[in-house]
Amino acid sequence: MASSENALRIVQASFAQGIAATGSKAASAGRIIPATGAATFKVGNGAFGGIGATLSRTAESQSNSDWFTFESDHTMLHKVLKHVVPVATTKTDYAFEQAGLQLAQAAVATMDKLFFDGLEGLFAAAHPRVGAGAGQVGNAKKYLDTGLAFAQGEAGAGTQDNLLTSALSEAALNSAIKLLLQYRSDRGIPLHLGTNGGLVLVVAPKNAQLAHELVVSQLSGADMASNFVKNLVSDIVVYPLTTDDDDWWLIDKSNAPVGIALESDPTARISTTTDGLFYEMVSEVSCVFFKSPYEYGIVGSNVA
Amino acid sequence: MSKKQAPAAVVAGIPSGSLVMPSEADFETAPPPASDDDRPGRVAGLDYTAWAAAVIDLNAPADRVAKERARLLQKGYRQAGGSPLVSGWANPEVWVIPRAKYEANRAARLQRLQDAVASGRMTESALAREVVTRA
Repeated sequence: MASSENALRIVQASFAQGIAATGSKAASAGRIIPATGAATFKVGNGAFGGIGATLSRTAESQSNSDWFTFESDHTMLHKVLKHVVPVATTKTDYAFEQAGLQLAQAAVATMDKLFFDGLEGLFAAAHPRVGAGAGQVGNAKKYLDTGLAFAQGEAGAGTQDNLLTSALSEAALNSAIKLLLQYRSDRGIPLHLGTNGGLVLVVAPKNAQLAHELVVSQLSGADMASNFVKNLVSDIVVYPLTTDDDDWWLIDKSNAPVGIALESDPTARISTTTDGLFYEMVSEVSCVFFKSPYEYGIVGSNVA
Repeated sequence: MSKKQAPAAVVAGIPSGSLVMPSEADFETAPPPASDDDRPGRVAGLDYTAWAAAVIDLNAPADRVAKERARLLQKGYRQAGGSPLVSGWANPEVWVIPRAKYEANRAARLQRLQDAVASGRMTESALAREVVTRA
């Protein structure tokens, strides 16, 4: 039987269970880095009045040696005011259990939203290594772009693409895979991305069925040959995009240059209101979308 | 042994084994210059510094092809003529747009992202740090 003393235990247990069971889409497509040690800022709404409380870091440009580019820091607070009288009954037990799960779903949804918003921004975001100097990718280059330079200004210099401008189709997906397979480092060294499979195809709901047909079918659509894609793409992640539902990405998950860095593990806490009649439950997620200055491991398609 | 027989008449659809060689003069013609157009998805012969290209897979269902054509037209692309080759594509249809207009479209996409963040539909994750400005 529950009591006000063990309500916190119930909520935290079901919260942890919910985090594990809900299944983050961000974790399926990108990297999740726990406890980066990065500072977080807890402030009011962001300057744009965005979904969460946000604060960008300082605006100075990043050097090439930076490991990640943090676009902003996010601390998400989800408050759930439960109309639960703090009296020990079986009903309150279930209420606390359910509240913990709801908080977990909110926390995971927050991380997912941050991640996929970040993905959409890659088509318009300046590349962290933009510039004409050694070790950079060229002037005015976006994170996903054509003609990204490697070994710029040195022997063996060349360019490569991680951007396609085609709606999702069999030929377009094949092109994306081949771009990954032949991708080179900034020193011009082949990286063999995706050769062992484990690629993730990210699409909007409108392309979910097509993605399934392209990836899961035994035979390819055009010539009924063995499906080249089947053993390379191991997962399809569907997420409702905000600005263009024709966008799609192919990500080598084990080498993903994008993901979510957690400042601390998601937590749930509980307190009674001052009148002692209600419980206030809060889940807290401190996390940030990151992109590596080295874009290896992702190809995107957007018809700009 | 009788003298050498002429090749048998070609039966439709079956190779006869006959061989027609290029002339010596054909080898004097300079080969076309090498390019990086064999990158997957690249349109052979297109000057990517002046143009951007979008490619439609004509093997896709007709409704998808029609929708994609309308979408490209709306975005300012125009269909390229001839029979262009696209690396890795068996049945492509190439649409092109001047590079300057393409960059303007990308800037418009950035503006849409900023608007979405401003209205609360997206988080600031969508914007690169240099775009995030504070009052």
